[in-house]
Amino acid sequence: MDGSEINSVNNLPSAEILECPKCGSDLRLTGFLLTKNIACGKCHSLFAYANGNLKVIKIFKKEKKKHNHIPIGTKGTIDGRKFEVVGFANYREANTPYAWDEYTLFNPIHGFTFLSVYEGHWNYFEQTILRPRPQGGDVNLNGDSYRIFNRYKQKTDYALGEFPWDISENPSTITEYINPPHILAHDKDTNEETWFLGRYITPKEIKEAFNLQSHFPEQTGIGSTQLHSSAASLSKVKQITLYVVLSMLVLQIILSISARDKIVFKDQFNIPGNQAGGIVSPPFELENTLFGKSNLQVELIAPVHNSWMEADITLINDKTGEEFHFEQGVEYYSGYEGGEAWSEGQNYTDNTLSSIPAGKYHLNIFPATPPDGGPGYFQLKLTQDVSMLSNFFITLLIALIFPIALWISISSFEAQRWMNSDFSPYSYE
Amino acid sequence: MFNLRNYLIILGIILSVYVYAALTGWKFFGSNSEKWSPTQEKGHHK
Amino acid sequence: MEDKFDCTCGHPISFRKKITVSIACTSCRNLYCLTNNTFLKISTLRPVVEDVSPLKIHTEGKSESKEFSITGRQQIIYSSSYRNLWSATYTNGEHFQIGESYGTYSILNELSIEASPAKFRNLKVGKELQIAPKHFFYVNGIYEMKSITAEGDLPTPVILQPQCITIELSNNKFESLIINIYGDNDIKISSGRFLNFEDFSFKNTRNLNGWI
Repeated sequence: MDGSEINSVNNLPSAEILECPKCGSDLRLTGFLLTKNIACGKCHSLFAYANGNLKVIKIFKKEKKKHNHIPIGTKGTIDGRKFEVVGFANYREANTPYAWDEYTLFNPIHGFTFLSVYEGHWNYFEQTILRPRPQGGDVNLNGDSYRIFNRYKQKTDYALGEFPWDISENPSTITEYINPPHILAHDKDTNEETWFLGRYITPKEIKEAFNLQSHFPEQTGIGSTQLHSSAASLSKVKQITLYVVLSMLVLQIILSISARDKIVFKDQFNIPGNQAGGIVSPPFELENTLFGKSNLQVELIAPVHNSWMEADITLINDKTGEEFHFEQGVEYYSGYEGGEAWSEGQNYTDNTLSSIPAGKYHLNIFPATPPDGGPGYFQLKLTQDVSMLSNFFITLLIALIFPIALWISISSFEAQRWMNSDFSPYSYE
Repeated sequence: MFNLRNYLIILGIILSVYVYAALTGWKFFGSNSEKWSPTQEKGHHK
Repeated sequence: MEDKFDCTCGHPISFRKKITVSIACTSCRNLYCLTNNTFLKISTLRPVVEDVSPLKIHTEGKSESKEFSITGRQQIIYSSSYRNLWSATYTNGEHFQIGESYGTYSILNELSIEASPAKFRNLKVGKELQIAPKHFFYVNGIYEMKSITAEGDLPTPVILQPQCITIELSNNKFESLIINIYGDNDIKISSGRFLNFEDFSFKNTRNLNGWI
């Protein structure tokens, strides 16, 4: 016989209490035929359960005992399904110090599920009948790519409660693939292969699911399936950023085409010998615009050579008396030194004045040149309503600050996540 | 946590300012001139 | 239509004419099989063991909007696994099996395929098996049967062959394929699809004690 006979056909059985053959403690049996191992919390013996009998197969070292934060027998609801915690084990990646805890949950209707916790990060696993397709070294499940994260054999350091398979021997190879917050775990030995589909679950969710107040292990590092707090928004932010950049480009093209680029003043002036002397320009008109203001580009050209010229210019509204004062100059130097020709500066500069109201204006110009000579004349050209590329680039930069910051933050988060993997796409110094 | 709605509002404001600047000839970070009007008492440069 | 005969233990056994193929006495677990229009005792079965299945004989349900009732089951125990094959009959007399193992449920129908076991003996876990153009299955497990028992009224024979290898396959279309190789030459293949427990709209299950 492989287990207990059915006591009541009409009722699911309650947990049966068996006596530990080693220490006489109570051992809980919930899965009956489905239970393969039972571990005693008092004498740390692990038993194979078959034919209603318990046969000791392993004794865990006392010092390996681990505290289970969810007591055996605790009932809770995850994803709308009720489960009872029936087992707790501490596993280790063979030949490494990396260890994690795993809780075995049971529901007679839905079978076994598992809660696994490593460095305070929890995953909830269910067996899946779906079989992911290989995709290079990775796998694909229903169109979602899962990247290989870890491959190992596991060793059981400690156990408590019951388990649906033999945990004393772990001949299978486990491969984990991640697509945060989801994870696929592939458990394969010669006779069986099983896929488990898991998802990141917060300690808060678990505490609520099992109505627990206890203190859970502190989280350290980034969990293999943990999501960056803004990861869900990244694809949307990428999409929005693309739309914003495209709209700005279109807007800038429209604005450039519709800019009036109207030359309102162009003249050439001789520089008076008397440096203190000023020049008053003829009047000119800035046309009215939609908001009554527009920019004004001032271009200054002077035939300077190894010399400079500077002008102190005031733009004066003839009607309101409002003045806009600015300085603009040109300089150009060139020579031949160490066998090479050099030059710096140029004989042209432009300057865009911001938000100048429409109206009739004239200019007061005070040119200055070096005492030992300079250009004899200069030209001034004023153009109303020119396109402003600088505004475009400044706006673009501001609009991109957040997406770039988010991308940097998520990239650094991902690099930290993959530090726990032997298959990291990142290189660490 | 990042709020997509707030981000969209900020983007809306940025784009509006950009268009407003284009229509009024407002050049960001570059007034390039010192303004004086007859109603001002100080800061007149002559 | 029901008929009756008396078990060797004296317990009366009701069976369904033209449907029942195997039937186990609820009192002494003698297994009878229909041979030449009479029921012959072929073995005495071990008791069915507690496997915390929510199903029982007389559980009713719906599949493809047709009502069915469970009349019996075979409980197969492997060295590291188990499976219940519940026999279900629609009201029109057609029957099928519900495969149940560790909380997974599937509707299964036996295929009438003439196949040689040799074709399947080399299958290994993880290997692909093509059963029709573009129709693939993958081997999930290969299990050696340890014991088989049954209860109730079954429209299929219970094969008490001591040597049985079961190959379990599935694919991403939620389809299931079970290949049983008995001894050297006999083979039985069942195919079907996986469903959730809720999809069957089961009634008259065992008392679920708040598990649902």
